[in-house]
Amino acid sequence: MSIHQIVADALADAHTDQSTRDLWSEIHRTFEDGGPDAVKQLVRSKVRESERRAEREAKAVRSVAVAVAKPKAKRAAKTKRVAKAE
Amino acid sequence: MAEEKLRLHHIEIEGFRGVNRALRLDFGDRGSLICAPNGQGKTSVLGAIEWCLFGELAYQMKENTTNDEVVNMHHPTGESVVRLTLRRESEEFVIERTRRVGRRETTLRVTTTQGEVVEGSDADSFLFRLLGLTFDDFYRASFLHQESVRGLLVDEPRVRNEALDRLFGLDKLRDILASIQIRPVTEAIDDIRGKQTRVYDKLSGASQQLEVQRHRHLQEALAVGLSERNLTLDAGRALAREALQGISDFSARNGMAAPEISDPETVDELERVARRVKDAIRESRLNAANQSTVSAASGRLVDVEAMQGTLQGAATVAALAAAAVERHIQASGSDEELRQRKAELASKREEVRRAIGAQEMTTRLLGDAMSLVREDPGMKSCPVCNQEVVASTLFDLLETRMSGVQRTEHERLIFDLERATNGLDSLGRVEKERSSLREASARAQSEYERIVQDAQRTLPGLPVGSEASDFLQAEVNAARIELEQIKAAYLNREQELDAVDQAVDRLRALQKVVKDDEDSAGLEAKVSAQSQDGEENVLSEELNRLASLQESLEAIARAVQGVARIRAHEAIDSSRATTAEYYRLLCNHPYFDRLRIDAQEKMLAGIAKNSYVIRVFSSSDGKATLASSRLSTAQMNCVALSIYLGLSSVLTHNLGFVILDDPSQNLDTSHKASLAGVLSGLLSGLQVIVSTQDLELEGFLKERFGKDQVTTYRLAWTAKEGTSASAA
Repeated sequence: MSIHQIVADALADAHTDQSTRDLWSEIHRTFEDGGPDAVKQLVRSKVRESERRAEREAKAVRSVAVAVAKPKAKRAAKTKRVAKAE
Repeated sequence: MAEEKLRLHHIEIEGFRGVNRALRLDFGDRGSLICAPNGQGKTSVLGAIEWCLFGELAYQMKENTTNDEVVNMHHPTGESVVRLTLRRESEEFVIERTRRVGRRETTLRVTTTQGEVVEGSDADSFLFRLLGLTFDDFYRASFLHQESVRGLLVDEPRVRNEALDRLFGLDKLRDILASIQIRPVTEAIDDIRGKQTRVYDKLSGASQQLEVQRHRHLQEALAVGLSERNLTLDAGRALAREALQGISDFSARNGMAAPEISDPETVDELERVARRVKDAIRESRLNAANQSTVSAASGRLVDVEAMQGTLQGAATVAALAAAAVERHIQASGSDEELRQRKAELASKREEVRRAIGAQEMTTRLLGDAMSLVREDPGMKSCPVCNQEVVASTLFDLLETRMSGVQRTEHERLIFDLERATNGLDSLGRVEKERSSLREASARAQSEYERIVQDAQRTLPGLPVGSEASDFLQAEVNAARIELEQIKAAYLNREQELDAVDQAVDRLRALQKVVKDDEDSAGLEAKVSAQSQDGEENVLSEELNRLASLQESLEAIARAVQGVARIRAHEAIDSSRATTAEYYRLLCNHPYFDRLRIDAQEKMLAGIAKNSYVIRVFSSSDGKATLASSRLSTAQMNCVALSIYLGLSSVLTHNLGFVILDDPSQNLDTSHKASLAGVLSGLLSGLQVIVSTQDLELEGFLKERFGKDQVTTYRLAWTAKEGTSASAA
């Protein structure tokens, strides 16, 4: 029996959910294709994806907060009026 | 039954690693020795067996993505060909694997005794069934690689654990386990939690700030006359329309193009309208300023007033000069009177001069007479007229006359002369003064006339004389009226623009409050979404996703480690007795004569991994110690060989041979002899292939195997030709 199947069986015995079993398949496939570094890269890419989305969201929320709360930029100087009557 | 297992019959190698030219080695039924100093191709030959069977080399660093290090760099066609013949009783299987330099894939072909040829993936499957073991198991069942031994000899527990994992066929599981890194996930979770907190704090702060801001904007709105009830978008749109109407009307009245601004629909568009109307107001003011005649009219008034002042000044100067001449005439008389007086004085002075001359003649006569009388005191008659005279009387008479009348008269005449002369001098000065005054008057008049001529160039109708002043005053009045009219028109436009400007200011004040209300609503929504228990926001989603990933990775790591642990225990348990026996035979330690391996789990970087403890015991008194802390390197080498041989003897597979690559490293003579004894013991069931550079081991093996039971090859190597073999 292959390592993939043995570990998949162990995961099933531990009543892990389908996403965990799918992740194991993905990890095993990645390992077979690219070795340990590829698996590390796979995990990092998943983490980075979440980090990016979180950062984007945090930035968006921050920008909302900053936009509504920061002191408005000083309005342009009032139109300079030409010399009025003395 | 050993006879039912596959044995190596012969191998043909060409262009593989250190082997360039075709090389054939026939393996003996029992034992084969491949002897050569280091670097002559022993490992290449053994690697050819490994590569031919599995298409991989376990301990070979990859040179590039296409593993070109597999192909001999001097091979004329850049191709590796390894043909391995396996036999099992009457069956023969020829396995041929080839690959070209620069190619990733290898070509595999298996030919059976019956001449059946299996190729490609079918050949892989066929081979797996034929061999009955995987590539990983090959290293613990049949091929003791130098690297497998080397790992056990180091002090570093991590490296030793890795080496044992490899020996137990767990290196892949270990590599997978090592590659599952959970720390980046936990760090990312911490990071996002921090972000979530900071974002929530930021939003709360912004919300409070917005409240303060709204209060300020509300005060500003009330200050410009807006009612709090009417601070709505609809009211803003009405104000915007008012401002738009105002600027359009102004533009129409002043002949300017009305700005094209659409009605606002949203709060932000209110500000857009306000900005555009402000721009239009500014543009209108600039246009009005550029087209204004105020400065021209003002300039004209200033010019006329200046002209008036200059002309008046010049006229005054001319009049004063003329008056000075007149006053001089009145004070000193007219020119005629001056001439008359001058003539009189000149005549008088001439008359006095003549009288003085006559008197001087008389005085000379009197003096002569007196001299004559003084010379002739007895004189009786006048020598001129012969008239009888008394000299002394005459002299006295002459002297009296001389010092009396004559003198008085002379003094009077001199006085008169001086008076006449002074009078004439005085008249001369008066004439000079008059002349000077007349010249000044003429210059003033000339200047006045020049100024008039200059003014006439600007004001052609300007008359000369007293009418000029009235004319200029009329001009000044006209310029003043024109200027006032222009100013009034300008002020009127300014008031209109100010009205629009104020409407825009109200619009802006209203927009700020309405915008604050809108922002506040958005912010409240964000705050509630970002609150710690918010379920729908992205940050929480990502946290959940990462937590799920962490959980999955931990579960996978546990499962992988569980499999590794079970396999390690299985391997250790199944080989315990044989390993201990091989240790006893190989190491032949005088005190620690028993060996035991225990596997336990150890947490490394949050992941459980197999950790092995190799203990040696003394059967005499039961004392135990860690093998690595008490045994020498050679004894540890014996431990490694014992574990390998113990494992290989219990694993189930179809291979009837074991391969040992340079197994005598660090062994002394007695251990080499022991190793030769142990290997000779395997010959009854297995074919033993040993590569060695150790002449001492070679001798022991030949001796223990029996000369007719061993096939020996000696290898030589040159860079161009590669490895060559000769039967010894």
